[in-house]
Amino acid sequence: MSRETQNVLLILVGGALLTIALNGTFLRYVKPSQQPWLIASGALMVLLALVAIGRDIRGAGTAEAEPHDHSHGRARSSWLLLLPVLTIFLIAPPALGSDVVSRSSASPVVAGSPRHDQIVKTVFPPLPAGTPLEMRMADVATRAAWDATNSLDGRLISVTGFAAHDRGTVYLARLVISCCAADAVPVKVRLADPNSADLPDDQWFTMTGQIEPGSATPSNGYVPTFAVSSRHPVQAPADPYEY
Amino acid sequence: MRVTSSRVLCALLVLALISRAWLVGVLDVPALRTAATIFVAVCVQAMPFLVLGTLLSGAIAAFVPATVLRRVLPRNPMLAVPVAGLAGVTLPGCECASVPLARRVMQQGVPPAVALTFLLAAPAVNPVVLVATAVAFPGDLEMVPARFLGSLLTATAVGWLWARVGRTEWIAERALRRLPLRTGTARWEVFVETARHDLVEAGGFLVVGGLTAAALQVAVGKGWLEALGGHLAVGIVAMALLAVVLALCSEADAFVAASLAGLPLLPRLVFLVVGPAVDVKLIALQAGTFGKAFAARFAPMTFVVATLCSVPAGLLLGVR
Repeated sequence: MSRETQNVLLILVGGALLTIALNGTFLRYVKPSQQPWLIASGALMVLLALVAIGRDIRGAGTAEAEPHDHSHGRARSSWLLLLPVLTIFLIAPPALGSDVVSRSSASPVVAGSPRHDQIVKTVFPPLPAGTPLEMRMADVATRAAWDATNSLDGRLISVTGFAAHDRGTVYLARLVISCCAADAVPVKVRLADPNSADLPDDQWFTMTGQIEPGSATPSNGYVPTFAVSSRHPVQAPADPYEY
Repeated sequence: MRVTSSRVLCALLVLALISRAWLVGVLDVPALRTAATIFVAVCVQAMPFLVLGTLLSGAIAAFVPATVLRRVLPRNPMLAVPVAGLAGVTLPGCECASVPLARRVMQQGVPPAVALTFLLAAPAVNPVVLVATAVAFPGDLEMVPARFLGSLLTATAVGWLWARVGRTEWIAERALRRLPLRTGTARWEVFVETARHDLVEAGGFLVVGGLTAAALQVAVGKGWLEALGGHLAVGIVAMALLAVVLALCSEADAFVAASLAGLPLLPRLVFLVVGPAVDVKLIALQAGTFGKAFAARFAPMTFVVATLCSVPAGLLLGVR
């Protein structure tokens, strides 16, 4: 691969990073705090390529500028840099959704929040006031499973997530990521009412209702049951994951 | 008309644009969509760290004379190996950053065993990773020193082992060759050229790793872990293999390990020690940087050593 082609590839990769970082689609792949890093590394890639192009134009390039350098074997791998660029610009893969929920269901995964590791119930700080109380899905799942004060009992809460079917059960689910989408872990509540049975997968809803006391047990992987009193279809949020 | 790489690039881009609708249709299968998202996520997540690694590598090539590194490290490789392991504490990054860096210090005359120890230690024992581990296991803080000790032992043991049995000819000659720059090139130009060159080269291999990780994540899933239940030995081997397959960033793997609450802590510690040392993404990067002959020996060796080191480290510090 010639230097010119390498430089064009670098500009394409850097440009792809800058594009998704600036138009917000990066939130489908990584967490929000990565944004400055993506912008900086994208800009640096473009800058490195531009400097090299500038030097070539002035004729000050390295000996490597010869199109036939003796490193065919490794130069070939650089072509693969095109793959993420084409995937980002042409296919723009969507955020992960219900497919991940059914894929990881058989494992004894409890909801994403770290506290789940403790097998004993602990005392959680009291919930703030508000009816219905808006909560993160991960907090709902965590409190339902581990809160010794049963703070969710009798509270009207509202949660946002997408519908996901798995082995005949419907869930309202959310994915928790800690670095990028490759480490996504699902958190979910079971929707037991018959009205929810045919909700379309990956449709987002904001649902209001109550957690059934004591419904998160070891035998169901600590997934609580949610008694829904109202539900509204909503647009998928710009940042689809919880962190 | 000659076939130049620029023309091939143009042809590929045009072809991709034309076949876009077809491609989107083909990929409209849940499993493939998931794999595509994971692939992009791994690449996007790792790219800043790779850039950081190549910039540091370029800076070393341009501004650090070879003699300085040799003077700082103990002359005896057996002593220099643990020093390099502890030096890993200073590079707060993922494994992707340390591969180009290890290659550069080798090029500057540091013995391979010492550079490889740094390569293994840096992504596993730095403060960012240890803090992330503490946050992920608030009820089991012994995981933090156990991870530190297990990873440091692994890096040091592999370094000593390499000093004993490793041969320079296993490392591809091109990895140790300096860039053929004209004499009299300014330092900043050496910096730019080295960083650019490393980035283009390592970037391609990072993509190989991302592809492999995405394919394996979708194909393997985590469902089979349930079957392991309480079998400790089986669980340890399974989690070691899972770490290789999932290729998670070392700053994120603690949270995934924490979420696998059905397993005892010891197999999960093995997962945390093996993951930063050897996974499909790293194997691809190492094969590209140091050659296939190197990766074919180094990866299995690291895998075995990491698994063997993490168990006593865990038991010693009370991880059950």
